[in-house]
Amino acid sequence: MTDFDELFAVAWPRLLRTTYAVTGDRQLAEDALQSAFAKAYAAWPRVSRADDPVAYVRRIALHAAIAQQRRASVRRETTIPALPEDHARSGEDALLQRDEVWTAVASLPPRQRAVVVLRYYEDLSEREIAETLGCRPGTVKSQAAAALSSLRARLGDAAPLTGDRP
Amino acid sequence: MTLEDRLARSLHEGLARLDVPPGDLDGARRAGGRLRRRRRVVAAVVAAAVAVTGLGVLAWDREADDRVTDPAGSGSWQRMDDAPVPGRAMPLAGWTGEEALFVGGDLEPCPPAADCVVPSVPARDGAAYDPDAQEWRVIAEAPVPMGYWFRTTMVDDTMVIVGDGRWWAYDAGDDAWTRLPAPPAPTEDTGSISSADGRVLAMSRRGRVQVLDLAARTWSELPAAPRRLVGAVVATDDGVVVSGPTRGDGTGVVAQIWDGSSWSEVPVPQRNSFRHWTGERLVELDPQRGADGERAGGILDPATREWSPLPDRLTDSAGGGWSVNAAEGPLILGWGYLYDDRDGSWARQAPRPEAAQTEGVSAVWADGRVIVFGGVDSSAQSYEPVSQAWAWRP
Repeated sequence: MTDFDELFAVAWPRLLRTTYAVTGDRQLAEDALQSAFAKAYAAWPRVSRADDPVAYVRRIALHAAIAQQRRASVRRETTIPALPEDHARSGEDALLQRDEVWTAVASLPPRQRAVVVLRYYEDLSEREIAETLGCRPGTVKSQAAAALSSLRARLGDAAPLTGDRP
Repeated sequence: MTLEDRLARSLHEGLARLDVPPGDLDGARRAGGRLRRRRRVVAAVVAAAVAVTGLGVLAWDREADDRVTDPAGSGSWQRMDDAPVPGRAMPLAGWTGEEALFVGGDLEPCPPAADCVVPSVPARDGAAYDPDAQEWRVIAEAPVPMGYWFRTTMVDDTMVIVGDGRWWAYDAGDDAWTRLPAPPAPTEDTGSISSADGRVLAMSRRGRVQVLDLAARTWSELPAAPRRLVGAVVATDDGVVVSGPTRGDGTGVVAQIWDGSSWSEVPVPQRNSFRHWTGERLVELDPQRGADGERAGGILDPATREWSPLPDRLTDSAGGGWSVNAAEGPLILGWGYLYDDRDGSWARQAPRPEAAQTEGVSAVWADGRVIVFGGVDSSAQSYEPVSQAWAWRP
């Protein structure tokens, strides 16, 4: 097994979950991540020397996914008036869609949603999130504050988790 | 349980339930291998084509020994491969998050003191540089020549350009150009544009702020500001800021702030308009003073409406003898210095390498490094534009 193979095996599951959480689109997440790993392989001599090859793949995947999502939204707006409900959702996806917190996160604007996922799922610092999203730490801070404000208004601090309900 | 705890728990538990299929390792290796081969072939073919046409590219192979293996650099400017397109001055520049884009520019810049009866020739082509892969690619040719006087802003990986009264978008992901709808009112080619959250802001000739929703390809207009300014528009977290002079002699600069429901006005004791948002403050990095002592640049916090002068730490008029201008977040390169708005510090820009051109370069921040492309070899009698590229990581 090569170093690249090892990176792929170790990083694929977590990065797919992250990309899915940011985009909310399973196929889009898989395609973006697959493409990111292909790019990493193409530049492997350099990527393998980086301090954190996973961060490289994560950055490429999220950038591609968010850009593709924006393009897809344009096509949907111009060609398909409405998507069928529960479009191509698996059982697990459907469970997630019923989770109160997940639904609230999914309603955030794309960049705020990415900041929340990277902070609370990937446990990245503001600086790491800024590097991942290609923006400034100040932007991460303001986006995080806006996201938490929206989520607090929607969920409240005291509301129980879906799983805690009787 | 705090909201932050709920988020962490819900995301971890929810995503753990997600069925994750194994990725296609062989597919990634095959696609990556094809990508690697395609990049080599494209570079070789383009280099050969450029050499045959004899256009003003500095020798593609001659400088090979000067190239470096890591464009991140180590405190000094590092020479990268020349771009696989003809040399040019002042191309439009932008950063997609993955590639530095350089589009158009002047193929035959006018030498100083020449009469230049023949107008300059803008380029339609361009190139993109991936600093991680250290590779150039030639991008799709633009529908029209892209002059150095055009204005551009980035929306994710799309470069939005306005010039000669027309609006264009180059999608780096699709490597494709599209013409955008014209705004309701004409814009000045030399007027400022900026972007935020997928929207592009532009000033009309009547001084109105027009807003392009790039995804929807539709324009809207902000309510008229109390004062009609011919200046710059910038999107900030605290609203849209339009700044410019109120008097005919260019003095009396004010900033008008649209907070989403109303306009307010702040006088700013400086000569220039604000063109850069750091993420926290507006900064106009011009350390000069007029004969009356008035400052050219300054800093404005649109949230508090507080203006402050630039920290006065310059000890001479030029920091590095190379006019490279680029801004990204709190880091602003200009006047031969690197200004960091996080702590108000000035640092000298790395000195210009002897082989680098002094005039007509374009620069862009690219993931923590500055990439410079193009320029004019003013030492040569021919005043030839070049395809040189340099990188510096402060």
